[in-house]
Amino acid sequence: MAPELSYLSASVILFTVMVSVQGYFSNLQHTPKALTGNRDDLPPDNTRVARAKRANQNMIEALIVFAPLVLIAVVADRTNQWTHIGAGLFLAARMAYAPLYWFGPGPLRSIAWFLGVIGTLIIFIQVLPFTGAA
Amino acid sequence: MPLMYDYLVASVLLYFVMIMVQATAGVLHHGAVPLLGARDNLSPDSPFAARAKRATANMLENLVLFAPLVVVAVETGKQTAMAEFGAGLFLGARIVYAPSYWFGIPIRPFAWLAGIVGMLMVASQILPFTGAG
Repeated sequence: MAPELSYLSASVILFTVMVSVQGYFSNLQHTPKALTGNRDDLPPDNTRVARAKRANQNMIEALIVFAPLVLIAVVADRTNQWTHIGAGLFLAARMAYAPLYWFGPGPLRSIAWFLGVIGTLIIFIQVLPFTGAA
Repeated sequence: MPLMYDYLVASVLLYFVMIMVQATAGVLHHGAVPLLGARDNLSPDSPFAARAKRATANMLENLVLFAPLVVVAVETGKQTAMAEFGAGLFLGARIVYAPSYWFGIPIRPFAWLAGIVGMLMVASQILPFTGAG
C-alpha cells in the first residue's frame, strides 16, 4: 500500500477519534439519556463540547480536500517524495490540531491548521489539473 | 490523468479558494486575534462572512457526493461522454455558484441546480447493483 494511503487511513481514524471525543464530552454535559433521544430541546453546548464540534467541522473540510487529492495522486500514478511528505505533514498537523482546539487557547491551533494546508497544497501541486500530463 | 480527475481536482481547488475567501471575510469582520484564539465567544458573522460560510457548507455537501461518484466512475472505466460532460458541468456550475452567493446575484439557485444535474449525469453512468461490468 502506498504510504500516502496509509496516511489517508490514519487521518480517517483520527477523525473517528475526534468524533468519539466529541461524543464523550457531549455525554458528560447532556447525559446519555438526552442524547439517545431526538435532541430537540438540548441546552446550548458548553465550551468544551462547542470546541470539539468546531474541531470536527474543520476536520471534515480538511478531509474532503485531502482524500480526493491523495486518491487521485495514487491512482493517476503521481506519487513521489513530495506527496509522501505532504500527506505525512497533513496527518501530523491534524493530530496536533485536535487537542490544541480541545484544550488550547490558541494560536498554536492556527499554526497546526496552516501546516495541514501546506501539506495539502504540496499534494495538490503534484496533481495540477488540465496540464495534459498523463 | 483522466479528464474527470482534472475536474475533481479543480473542484477541490475551488473549495479551497472558497474557504480562503470565508477566512478572509472572518478576519476582516472579527479581527485576526479573536480568530487565532479558541473562538468561544465570537460575535455574529457579518452578512458577507455568513454568506461565505453558507456557500462553503453547501460546497462541502456537494463535494461529498461528487468526489466518490467521479472516483468510482473512473476506476470502473465508466468515463463516458455523458460522465465527462456531467463532471465539467458540475465544475462550471460551482464556479458560478460561489460568487453568486457571496455577492447576492440571484442566479445562485440555478447554478446549484446545474451542479446537481451534472452530478446526476455522472451517477447515471454508474447505477449501483445493475451487475454491469
